[in-house]
Amino acid sequence: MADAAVVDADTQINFTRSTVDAAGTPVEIAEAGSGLAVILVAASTDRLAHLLAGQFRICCFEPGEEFAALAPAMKARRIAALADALGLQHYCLSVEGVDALAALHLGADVPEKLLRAVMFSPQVFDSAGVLNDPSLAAKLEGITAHSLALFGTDSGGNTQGDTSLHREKIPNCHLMYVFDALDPARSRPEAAAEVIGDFLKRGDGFLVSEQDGRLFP
Amino acid sequence: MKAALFSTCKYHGPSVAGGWPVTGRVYSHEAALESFQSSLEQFRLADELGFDWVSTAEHHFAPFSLTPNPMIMAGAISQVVKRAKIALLGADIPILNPVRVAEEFAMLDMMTNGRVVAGMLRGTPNEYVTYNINPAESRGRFEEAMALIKKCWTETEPFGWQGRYYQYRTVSIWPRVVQKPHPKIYMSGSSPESGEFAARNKVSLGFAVTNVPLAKKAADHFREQARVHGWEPEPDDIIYRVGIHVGETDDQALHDYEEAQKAAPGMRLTMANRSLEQSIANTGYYGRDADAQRNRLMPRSLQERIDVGQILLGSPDTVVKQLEYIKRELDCGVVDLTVAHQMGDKTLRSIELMGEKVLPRIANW
Repeated sequence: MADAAVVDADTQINFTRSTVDAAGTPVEIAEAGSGLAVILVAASTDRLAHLLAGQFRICCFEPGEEFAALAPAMKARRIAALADALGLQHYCLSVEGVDALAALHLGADVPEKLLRAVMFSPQVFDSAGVLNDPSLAAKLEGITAHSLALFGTDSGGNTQGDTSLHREKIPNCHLMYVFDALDPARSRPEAAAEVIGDFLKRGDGFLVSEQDGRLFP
Repeated sequence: MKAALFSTCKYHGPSVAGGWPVTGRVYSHEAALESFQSSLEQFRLADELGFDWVSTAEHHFAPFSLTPNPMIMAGAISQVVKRAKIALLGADIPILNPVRVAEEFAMLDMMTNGRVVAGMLRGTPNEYVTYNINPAESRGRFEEAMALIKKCWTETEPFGWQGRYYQYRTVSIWPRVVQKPHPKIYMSGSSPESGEFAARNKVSLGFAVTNVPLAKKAADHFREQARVHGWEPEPDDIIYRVGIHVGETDDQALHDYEEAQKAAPGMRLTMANRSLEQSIANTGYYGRDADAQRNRLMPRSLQERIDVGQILLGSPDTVVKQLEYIKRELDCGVVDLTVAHQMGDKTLRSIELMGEKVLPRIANW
């Protein structure tokens, strides 16, 4: 059921809020845009959501305390249920921090549905290089969706080794550093939106530039 | 104190005095090749005589320097200098492709088995005209380029970079650097902003085209800021570049220098085109200490240059005294001794005198 709308003054994107029944659990979401569906586990007030809604059908799912307390596998089921409730046959997902574990579970559980995953400052491995969720270990190799792990260069929480592990151990994972950012989604949303927009649209093809280099005709 | 021999590989053939950029209409290939070969010979000699480093730099569009790409020069040097470190002081990173710079430094580090010193500079103001880069973006480009180059050297997995000025989707350089985590980095530190950035990022400083009083002020600021960020720079974290010509006697050195000055006047860069320099200044290039930064580029008389430690000129005894002043004021660990003028055999003799009669007396400072 739709109610309040959130409008960004700059992008003029209008998010419509509603409540969806996700396999028996009511989930509040905010939607805007059209095209490829992207579930953002983030607030619809984030500038990144508004920037992406100009290119994609964005469904923001703001995680509350109840969701945060779930195990990664349960979080993945909740997101899958939400996608089913929205009637999404294929979709992309954007998460941050420890919710990257849920994205990886989802990639292993419903590989036919999850097209691509974006992970902001993912916390998938501990400092010793061990998965933060042992139940994911056996499933990791089965992930076919391409993922993009973004880290801010000012993020003191991640060491070089931590960030590299994502590229090394997660199948089809691209590693991206966002310069001069602590939290790329919030401190440099335009930069983040450009690269993840390209990745979501083109998958692996985002490695190849399609920019027109000509200055004048 | 360590000693480096620095040469811009000046062109000593027919040219047109003044201005920047300098016309190539009277350029002589033979003279350029001879200039290049004599610079290489000087570096080879310095290596034999015990200089700790040899150093090269990047300048464009003028006979002041025949090394617009110091990486190529360093590659050539690496084939004749077998012991000394090879310092690139440096690459002008805001006007270059940082990934390419990282690759080239890594290649040189591999070729020299870890003897590369990585200078990364903003360059002289005129360099921004070279590749049509807005001088107002100099500092922003510099800071991001350095971060990206370090990432290229230290990240072993392929990575992308989403910056303000640079964007790469996937990078994984080969060959890798020999020195771990990476070669020692120096940057120019004459402005307060540079000293603060270096202190914040634990980067070492080099002073060039300046003088001892100005360098002392900048070095003190750098050390003070480093303490704020929890570290204490060592003497080796400061390089001072100074012109030099050593003769058998003071009179002979002065005579040689004055004769060479008459033969090759006005070999300058930014200040050879004052109108251009003013336009660059108008972009805010110099930062908050603009007057002092512009003043240090101004031409001075020879005696003034000697007095403020901009040139070392005289017999070995005199030059050692002049070096004492620099060491006392700056506590620098490396002095980058610049071939002041190319004088053929006189320059070779000057390098010999440095190696035989000056370096042994400063090595333990």
